[in-house]
Amino acid sequence: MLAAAAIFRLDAAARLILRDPDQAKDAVQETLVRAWRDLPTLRNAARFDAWLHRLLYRACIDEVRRLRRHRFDVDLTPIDHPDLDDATAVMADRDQLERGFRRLEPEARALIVLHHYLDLPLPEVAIALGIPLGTAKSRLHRALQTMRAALDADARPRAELAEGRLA
Amino acid sequence: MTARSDFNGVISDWLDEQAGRGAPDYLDDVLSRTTRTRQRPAWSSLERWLPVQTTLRLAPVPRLAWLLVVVALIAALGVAVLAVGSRHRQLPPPFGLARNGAVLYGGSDGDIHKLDPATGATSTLVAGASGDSVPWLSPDGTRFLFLRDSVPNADTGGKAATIMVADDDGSNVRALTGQLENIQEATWSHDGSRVAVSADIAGQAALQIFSVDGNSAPLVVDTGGLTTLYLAFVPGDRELTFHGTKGNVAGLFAVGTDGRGLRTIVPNGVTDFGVLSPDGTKLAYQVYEGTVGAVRVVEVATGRDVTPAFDPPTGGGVVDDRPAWSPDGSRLLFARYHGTAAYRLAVMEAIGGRVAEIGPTRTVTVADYAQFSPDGTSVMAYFDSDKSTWLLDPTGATPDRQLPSSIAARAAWQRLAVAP
Repeated sequence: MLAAAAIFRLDAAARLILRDPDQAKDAVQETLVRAWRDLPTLRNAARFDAWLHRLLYRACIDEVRRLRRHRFDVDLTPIDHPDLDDATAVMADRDQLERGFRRLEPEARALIVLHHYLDLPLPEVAIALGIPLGTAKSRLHRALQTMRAALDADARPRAELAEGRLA
Repeated sequence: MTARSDFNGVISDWLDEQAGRGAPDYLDDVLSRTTRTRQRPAWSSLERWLPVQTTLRLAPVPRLAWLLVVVALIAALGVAVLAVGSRHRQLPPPFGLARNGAVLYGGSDGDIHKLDPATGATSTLVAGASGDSVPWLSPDGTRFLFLRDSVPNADTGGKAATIMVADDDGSNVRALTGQLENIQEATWSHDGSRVAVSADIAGQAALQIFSVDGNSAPLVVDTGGLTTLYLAFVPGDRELTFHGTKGNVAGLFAVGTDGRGLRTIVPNGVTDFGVLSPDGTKLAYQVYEGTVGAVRVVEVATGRDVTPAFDPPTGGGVVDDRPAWSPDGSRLLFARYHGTAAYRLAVMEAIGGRVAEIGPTRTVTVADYAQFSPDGTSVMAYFDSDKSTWLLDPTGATPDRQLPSSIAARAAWQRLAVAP
């Protein structure tokens, strides 16, 4: 019952953190098996969610480390800039967000996902990641800044193209 | 989307969109895996080593007590003069049978106390505003470690705390470590010069060896990322054994105390514990096969299974766990369940034979703990369900005796030289 209730949000969070459905599947399975195995040792039932998020975070990071040993990631950057009508501009922003998000370390992606997708308050995010609250705050700020900078940087050629400077 | 004034909102919307609403199709796989995975029993949490909470309570000190303190100080001074003028203290061997000394324990008042188990007399060794708990005595009984101002980690069962060291009379208190995170366990080397600690470094499980004199930096032992439990120095102090876990990996391992030479003794399986025999040649551990938990014994040097025959054996609802050795390694102490959470302690010759169940039937809790006395003639058992500590006769011949109720958790029994 617990697994069925949790698997949707865990799967979504893991896919966001890992950006790979197969890795996410492995991480969620690992999380739920660990949760099942260690459930009797959880002393405070009220902390179940925080505990589960911590397990998910650890499983995601383990998954990243496991694969880092076996492959190199290659970033594919589109050569052509998209057209500039309103509909494609929205699509372009999504692409840029995607690219900015992928540039973050998995730990930073987890921070953003736990806070902005699972809506966990920062103190709970800090507990889930096993870091002090102040560190969580500063890392989140830095991660969002990185994303914003990536977005701005990616947007610049398009804006410049629109103004004809690079034409 | 292009407006950047509410960037947090943009991120949240984008994450929602990216997450999608697709239902994962591997729930059945997860359920299949969980049915093949044994749940970790509640007692296996490390809270059994570390008390859940220590509460500081400062009671007013009556004037009579001050008078007694003065008298005690004068008496202590006289004893000290006599001791200095006579001879050095004889020390027990680091393992094997020894004479029973005091029982050291962390009280519910956040102080470290000492109990004479023969008379029931108690005294305070370390007091003050700090919360002190969980004393670990050195093999020669001359010093003890304890946790100061510990904060439990409900997720891991570990504690954040400073590990302190003091002489056995409570003097010379000093910090052995800085603030450590997620302390799982600590153990003394046989020569008392080093302490191995399982705790986190930067959020990762680590095994460190601290020099008790503080003259050198702690050595971080490479355990391949394993979380280490049941640490024990092999006599000679050149190797450490431990139970290691990482993800689904759980086995028994040994590593050199120079930080090198990690080797597997019992490979991955559903195992728990890993208690080193006093002579360092064998490890007793628990293995779970299906619904049967059994105590196994393995040779440290070869990994060869040398489990003795238990009479009656496990199976048919009989489950054994929490093995411990007698000080001379001749007997095994363990908990034996009969199909429920209720258990009795049990003793058997280490070479095998009839299992003798001793003491009361209790419902197991996380912090239950039992150990042989240094002389091997009794078993001290702590039952967390009613916070009681008992002395049991391992032969079952004499009645059980309850110790003072102020013992808040696992206690440590001091080893003394056989010939005083």
